[in-house]
Amino acid sequence: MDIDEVQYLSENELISVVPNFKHPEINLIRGSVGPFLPLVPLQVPIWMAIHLKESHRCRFVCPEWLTFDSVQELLRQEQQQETFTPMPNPYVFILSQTIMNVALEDIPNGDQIRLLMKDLWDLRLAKLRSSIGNLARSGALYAKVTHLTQVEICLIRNFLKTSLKHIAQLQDAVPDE
Amino acid sequence: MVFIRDLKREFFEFISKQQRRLLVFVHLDVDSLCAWKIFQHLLQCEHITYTCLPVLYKYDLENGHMQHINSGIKSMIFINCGSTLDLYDFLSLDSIGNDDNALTLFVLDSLRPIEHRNVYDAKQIRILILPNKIDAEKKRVPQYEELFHEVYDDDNNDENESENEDNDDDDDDGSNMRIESTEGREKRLKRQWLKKRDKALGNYYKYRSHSYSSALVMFELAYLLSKDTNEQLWYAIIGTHVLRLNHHQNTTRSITDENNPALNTSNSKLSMDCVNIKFDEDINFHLLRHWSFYDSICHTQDMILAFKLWSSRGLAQLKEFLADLGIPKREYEQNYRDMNIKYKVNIKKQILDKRLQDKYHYTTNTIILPTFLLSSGFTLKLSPQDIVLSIMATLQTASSSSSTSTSMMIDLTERFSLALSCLNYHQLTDYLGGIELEKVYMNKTHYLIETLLQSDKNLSFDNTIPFILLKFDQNMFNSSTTTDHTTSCGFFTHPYQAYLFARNALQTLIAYTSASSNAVKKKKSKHLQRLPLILIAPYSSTNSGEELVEIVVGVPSLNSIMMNSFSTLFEAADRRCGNVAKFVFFDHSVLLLQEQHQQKFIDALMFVLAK
Repeated sequence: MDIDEVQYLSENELISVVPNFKHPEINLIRGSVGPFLPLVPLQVPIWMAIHLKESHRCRFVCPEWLTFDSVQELLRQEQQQETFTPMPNPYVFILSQTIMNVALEDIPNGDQIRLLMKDLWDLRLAKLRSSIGNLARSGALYAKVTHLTQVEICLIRNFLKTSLKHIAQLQDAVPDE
Repeated sequence: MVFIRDLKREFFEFISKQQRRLLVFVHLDVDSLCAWKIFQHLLQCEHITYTCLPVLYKYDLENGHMQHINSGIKSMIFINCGSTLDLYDFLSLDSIGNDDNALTLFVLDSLRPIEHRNVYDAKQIRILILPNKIDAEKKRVPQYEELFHEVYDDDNNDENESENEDNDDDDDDGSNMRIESTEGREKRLKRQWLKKRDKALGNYYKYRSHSYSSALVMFELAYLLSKDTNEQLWYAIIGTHVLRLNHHQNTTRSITDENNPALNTSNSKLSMDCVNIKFDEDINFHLLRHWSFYDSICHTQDMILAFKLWSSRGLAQLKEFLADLGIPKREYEQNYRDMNIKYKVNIKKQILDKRLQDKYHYTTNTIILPTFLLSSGFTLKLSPQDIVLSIMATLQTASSSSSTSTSMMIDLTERFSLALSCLNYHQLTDYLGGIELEKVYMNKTHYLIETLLQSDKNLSFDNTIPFILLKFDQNMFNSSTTTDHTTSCGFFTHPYQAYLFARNALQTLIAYTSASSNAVKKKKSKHLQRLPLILIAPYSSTNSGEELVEIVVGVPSLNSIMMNSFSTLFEAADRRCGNVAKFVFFDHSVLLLQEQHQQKFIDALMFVLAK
């Protein structure tokens, strides 16, 4: 799975928007959305929310996990623990980027949240790198990691596959002692 | 109703239901560019196709109409052009066409007075105005009963005679005397009615003025469609600033009233990368952020008048003033943006200091102006005045390549697209280019006005002529510091530019003569204050180079600057001297004239003004 595929799948999450037009219910394959009433918030998938926002028909409601305080809290917890902390959403990083590209005006303190997100990302990636290093050094056959987001899995998937394969090949080549 | 009450339903939904391509004529000035930008955004949101034609002259309208008449267009929109023309006559529209081919014309124009025939024709013409000003507009135009009468109407005289005879059906007994007296009475009534009508029309058309900006109307439409964003608000702000800058209108109160709901009050939480518009009181020196402080003051019209900067004594006084403000010489001669911040912070407070005001005799109501500032991320702070000046400079500068008539149209579109890209606040290259052009233009203007003051040969005023005549010929431009932007003819290329130049020249002239130590000149200045100014300058030459076409602009006297009656005066003078003037611009107070007819026109104008 590529990063693009992850992005595509991430847009299926629901987000709350406030439309400014009126429209009856829309029936989609996955479920139905609506009815749309002006100034009444409702949940829509993110791909639809982006489309509406770009044609100026709605306003985003900031999701709870993307507020300044909650992101700060996440960062603090991550800094305290050695293992990964649970993320509110499996697609946190990609979604925060997407939402902020489209609707920066609707997110208060958007630029500061961006900074915090970057810190969070760097921290988790560092932890990931060190744990992979430990895995390789210890020679164990498997490791169990919890609370990773899809993007991170995607990043290390290919690398882990080929590198572990190489290590196994090298190990086989070394004569048993 | 001709005046559209509900912008959303009667205008926008009407257009989007038609599902046809739109034809839009946009006049080449800053306000219409801003209105067009907002409107373009709205059209793009609804995926409506359009064709946009920039126009500067009346014949551009005709040409555009001819070119597109057969392409199935059902609606035409005129932005800042066409409300002063009788659109039916001008475009030779067939008013009794089939319903299928019925064209609808929407006119959005800030020029007043609107041609009365446009108002009273509800079939095809609609006029877009601010919804809360409908009653004021309706009151301004004379009543229908005053202007049109089935029997008395002027157009068909023969028919009226026959209708008069038909009216005698009642008096069947008919002694001749009775019939005659009825006819006589009819004729008398008709004369009276015609006289009243002419008077009403004369009063209505006497003064030309600009009302609120077209960009504001477009923004109102965007607001009704809930598509108002900070971007559109910014364009509307620029549009209203044009009016303030060029036509002395105090529009700030209206802006703040209408924008308070739209402006984001909790600005602190907004991310830095967003477009952030703040309302502030700002120092209004010419292009303040792009020059050094000193240069900026030297080119601000109000400071020139206050300090009399054409004389060396004035320059010395200015330096004293700067010293009083507490700014060292090194600071005020470098770029304003690089100035030390502790001076910048205090400047506003110092300028408002009463003591300095009394000492140097300047007034602060035009220096400290409430205005808006756009800041987005780490780029330059943008101020609407600068943008207006930059766009005007871009519109004025013809590309230096060719001057044949076929390329005039291409030239217009080039200028138009260049000026539109100046409005873009993300890419600032064109905007900065426009600022550079404006600086060059300013320098030139100052040079011209200074030479004008020093030698009286181009000016003529005395007690017999009822106006000040300012004549330029080609030599004036050749001797100034030229770059390759302007040739000797190409200095005045836009009607509003010529108007502004003439107005500044008038102000400077009056200040100069009233401040001069020569007693004769001082007496003259009192007389001068009541006189309007006529500027005649070379505009362009035909291919052979022999026939020079000149541009004539009329500026009313300073006492009554808001009431520009020159459009009717020029028309009257033109009628007197046999229709030599070419009214190619939409605003009839600026016209083109061939050099050979110049003297004739001036004589006719003197006669008209003497009355």
